[in-house]
Amino acid sequence: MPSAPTMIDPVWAWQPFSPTANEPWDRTLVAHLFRRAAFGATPSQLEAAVAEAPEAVVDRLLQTAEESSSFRDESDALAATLLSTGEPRQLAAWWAYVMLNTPHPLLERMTLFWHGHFAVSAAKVTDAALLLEQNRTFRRAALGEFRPLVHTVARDPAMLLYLDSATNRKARPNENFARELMELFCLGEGHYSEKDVQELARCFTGWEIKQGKFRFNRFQHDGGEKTLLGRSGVFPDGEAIDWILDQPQAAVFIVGKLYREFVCDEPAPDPQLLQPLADEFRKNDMQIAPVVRRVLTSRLFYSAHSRARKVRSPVDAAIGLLRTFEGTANTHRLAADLQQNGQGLFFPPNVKGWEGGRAWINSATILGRANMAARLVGDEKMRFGGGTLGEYFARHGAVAPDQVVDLAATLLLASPLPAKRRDGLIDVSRNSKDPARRAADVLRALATLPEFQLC
Amino acid sequence: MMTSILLRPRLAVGCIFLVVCAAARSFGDERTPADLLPQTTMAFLEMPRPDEFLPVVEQHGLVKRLLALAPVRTAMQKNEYVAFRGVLALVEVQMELPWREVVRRGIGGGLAIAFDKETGGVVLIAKTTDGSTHAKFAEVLTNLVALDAQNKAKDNPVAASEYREQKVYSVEQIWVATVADWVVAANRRELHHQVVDRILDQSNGSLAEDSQFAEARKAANPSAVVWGYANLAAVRDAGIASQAFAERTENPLAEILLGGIVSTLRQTPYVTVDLVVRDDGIEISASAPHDRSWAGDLREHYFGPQGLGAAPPHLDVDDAILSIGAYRDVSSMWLRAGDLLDEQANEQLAKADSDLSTLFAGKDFGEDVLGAFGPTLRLALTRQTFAEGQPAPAIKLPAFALVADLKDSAESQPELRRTFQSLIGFFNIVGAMNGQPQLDLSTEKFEGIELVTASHVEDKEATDPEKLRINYNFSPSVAFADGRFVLASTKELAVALATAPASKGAAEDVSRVANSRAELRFDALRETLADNREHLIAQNMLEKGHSRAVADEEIGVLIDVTQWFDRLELQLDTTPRSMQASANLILRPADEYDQK
Repeated sequence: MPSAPTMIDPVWAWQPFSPTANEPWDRTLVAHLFRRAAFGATPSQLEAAVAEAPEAVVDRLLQTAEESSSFRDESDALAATLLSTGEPRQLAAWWAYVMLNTPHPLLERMTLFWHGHFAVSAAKVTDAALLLEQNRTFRRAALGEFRPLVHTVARDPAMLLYLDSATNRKARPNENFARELMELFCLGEGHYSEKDVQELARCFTGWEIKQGKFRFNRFQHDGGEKTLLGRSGVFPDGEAIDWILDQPQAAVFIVGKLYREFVCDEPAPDPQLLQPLADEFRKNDMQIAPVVRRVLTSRLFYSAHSRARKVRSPVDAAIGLLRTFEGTANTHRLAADLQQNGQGLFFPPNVKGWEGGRAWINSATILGRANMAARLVGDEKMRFGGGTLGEYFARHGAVAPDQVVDLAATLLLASPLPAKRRDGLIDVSRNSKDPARRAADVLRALATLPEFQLC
Repeated sequence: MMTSILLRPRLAVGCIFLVVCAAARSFGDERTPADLLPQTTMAFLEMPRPDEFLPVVEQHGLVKRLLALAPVRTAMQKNEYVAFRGVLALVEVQMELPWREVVRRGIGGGLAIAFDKETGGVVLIAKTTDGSTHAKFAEVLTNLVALDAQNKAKDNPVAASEYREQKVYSVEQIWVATVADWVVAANRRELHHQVVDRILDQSNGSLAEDSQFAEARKAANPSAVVWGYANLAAVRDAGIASQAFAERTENPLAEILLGGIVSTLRQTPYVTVDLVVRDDGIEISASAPHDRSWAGDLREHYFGPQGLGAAPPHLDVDDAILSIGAYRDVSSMWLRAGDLLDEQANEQLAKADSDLSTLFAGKDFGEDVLGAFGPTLRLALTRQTFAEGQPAPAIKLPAFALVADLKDSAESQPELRRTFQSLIGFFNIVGAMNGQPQLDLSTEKFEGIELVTASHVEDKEATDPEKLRINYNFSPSVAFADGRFVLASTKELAVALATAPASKGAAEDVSRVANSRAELRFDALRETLADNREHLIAQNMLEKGHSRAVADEEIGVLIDVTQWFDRLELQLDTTPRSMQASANLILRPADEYDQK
């Protein structure tokens, strides 16, 4: 196996992972898949998935077309009720609730991915209805086609309000959305010129937001010829978006972000490594699900290049902790905790979204994460699989201190727990006679370990 | 099975033992627990006739309704409760009596708990009605505890000793003894000894002989099932809760609500509490000696001149949830704020005074604006109803209003009208900048009433006109009617209060003045909760992590519980010699409730 990402053989990397005697499809690999794709696995999910083939497990995670209509209805009804308060922070609590309870966590994870990609913050766009509609757009397209998603985003009221593009007149084209469309959403830096930005901005003149809705004002649209990325034309109706997406770099840029989302934070992948994914993305008309499937079933994904090579985001830490142990939570408080730890839902820091990776970790956030974990597992009102945390562990055969520590480590940690740290956690576990308190103490202590910060 | 119940020795042994072990033979002792307590007792709570009261509780409609609740029934199927029942059954078998009978005999002669200032101890005293099973029960219980300890490979937590030839059991730091008719438990040995000594020696100098206590007890309501007494002079001297007795507060709202009560508590020697249980409800009242001169000029805003300021009667309006009426001269309070509030609160008040004076065209807010109003205030909270098919907010908040009398309506009315119109204009400007719906002002005059209302402009973009934004709960209005001023959150409530006749209150009697009164009506509260059921369910799901089904059940229980009650009445009365605060919870008649 190649030793450094820059030297990874693309052919080897994207071949389907086939379990062998040396690399068995075991709880470690299943837990890795679920941590990256589904916010974590419960003990039962882990056992069930080990008995299946890797592709079958991934396909099941991708089955979003059959999203439980009852859960969707419940979630929509919940959101509609909260919307009447007009308070975006209520929406953050709602989304945390959805992430915790959805039967389709990969869909929700991808919704979060697009929220970070097409970042809009409620700190500026305070209309909760617009934010919810944008969130629904991301969820509908989360594993669908990228091209229509970009077209929708280009007309999305929340996005255009966020980028000060609510009015875009031909006499004074607003370049904000045009610039971000190329730099942040489709191509990346260095793949367009300043002139392209100016010309693209002309294409979007007359695109306005009036009373929370998109409106095309033909009187303010610049219908003249433009030259964009080497092609001249009028570019009516968003044709410019299609032209941008037709650039080979567009596919490379998007699969590069998906690579960082699912494979590893760093180092940045060699373009050659991404090329097979980019080719597949283009071949499938920019369908997102096939690329995600290719990544999640690849040899690279289950290799040492990927495992424990990402820093856990606050959402991964909190939602992962709760989903793993089937925990409930006060999602108002959870949303506030996520905000304090730098990943407020509906509150990305800027148009670039969350930086992620090492940026998640500093001395303040380590303390914040520990406090967040303590609150999540220490609230006696909350249930874990319908009972206390102690009962949950006992139901899965973990009663003695070492059993509690081992179960928690297997489910939560991406890398083996060093013996010294394991002993430390066992000591922590022995401090309490109450099973629920013992399990909570272990999880609280575990959340402070460096190993926990990786996924 | 008994193991889980007996996990806490202090609870299981100390309390159960005390209650049941009290089944000692009566020797015709006529003394009450107060005869056994020292005069240094600071607080005393007594249930004088448990043998009469316990069956009433058992058969009370409220208890029956509580036991019929789904969550209670579910809890009664849990292992812990089943284990508890098992222990009770074991006791019943060995005692050859139902447990209720064991309890009745054990504490039927009276039950009291007291806190002694001198020793810092708490003592529980019970008087038996029948001691024939006492020895047997003592044996049963001590055997059970010993067996439980043995099963856990632990030492028996109950230690036995003797004091003046009386057997004393101790569990950790609780001493329990049965002496003649009495069972005494205390957490201070010295206090325990004092009470036992009094039982044996029939010595003088007891709490019952204290003149202050005797005076308080003489005034006790004979129907009270629980009676309490606190020696406030001793509490104040001991420096306990000194903040609660402070002359000045940091919170202006606390001064409005409680300022007069605190001024009395600062001087009154004691306070008593009565609990009366009736078939149709429960009433709790607290009384304290009071002298109308105590308030002096400082709290004239609270009690009125000579302490005779009376609350206005409630105004009858449909769907009332909460009605509050009180004598409060807010202008006078505002002007005396320097003596009533602390420095920080006064600084904030000074800033508010300056801002409000600006808003009211340079008029002095305390003197001229608040001074234009009479010294009585009414607050009203009512359920809002929206006609079917008409625009309605998704969250239906109750409407609320403030009602006051104008001293000179000819002078004040135009000024208040203009200020209200200016405020609405200001809200519209701020709202427009924040994308909030606009308010449309209009003025109407009818039947001697002048009404200025501000209604939200129709939201033509709304996808569902019956689920509008929360703003659509409000149509802020003012009404002027024959010297009555109404400031309301909705036009409908403003009209209703401007035209409402006052409730017929009891004839005012200077010997008993109702200073403040409030009434909470549960029917309208229940309807308001039901109107917002979906929102309550949503919040329950988010706050407790429940599924919709569980949240729906919890909210259903909450709404169901409000059906038990008809209304809650709160009142603060003064007489030339006393002050009384009472809360009267009135149950809905059983036949009405059962029909639901």
